[in-house]
Amino acid sequence: MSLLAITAQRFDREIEDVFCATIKRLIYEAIKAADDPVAIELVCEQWQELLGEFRALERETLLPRQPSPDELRSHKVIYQQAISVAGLLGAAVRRAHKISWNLEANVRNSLKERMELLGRQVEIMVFEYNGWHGPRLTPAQIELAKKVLCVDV
Amino acid sequence: MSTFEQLLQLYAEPEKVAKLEAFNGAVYRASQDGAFNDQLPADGIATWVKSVWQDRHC
Repeated sequence: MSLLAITAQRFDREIEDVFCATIKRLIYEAIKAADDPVAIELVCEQWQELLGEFRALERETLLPRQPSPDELRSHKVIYQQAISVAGLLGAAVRRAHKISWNLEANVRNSLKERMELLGRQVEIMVFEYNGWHGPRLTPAQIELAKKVLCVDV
Repeated sequence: MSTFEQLLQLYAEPEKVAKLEAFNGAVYRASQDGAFNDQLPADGIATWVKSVWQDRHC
């Protein structure tokens, strides 16, 4: 069952509200989880599911065609919040891992793996965010880039 | 194969962080080698290559 409890066909205000409400709930649950490795892992699993749904929606609705300005605006807002919550979860897991030195090795390893995964996710999301919503090369810069990078014009 | 085609190939699987690191590394090295200048910021090149890749594959 979808974490979002909605079958979205496009990035619009409704899906933005649902995504953002879910992200806010995850932030609340991450704070409430404090240093409990099991509780934090449960929040991270929900985050993983939400990220999967975000990627699927992006793949199915934005990539095959030119998205509208409104769709891009909603996509941008969700992306900003998604990067923020991944960073917050990464900080929570890092803290839990730091004070887990007296717990079983499998718990420590699990926290370490989750911490590294969140770090990679943030790196990729920031890169993708720049691709979607960062500044573009100007036409003059594109022409220069084609020459510098030996692109067949 | 041009630098541009190599970058396009590296971008082909952006979800794999090793590919992304290789891509960013290639863009960074090209910028260090003087391939880009003040008019061609590395982040802008990365964004442009991504958009070209999407145009070709989506």
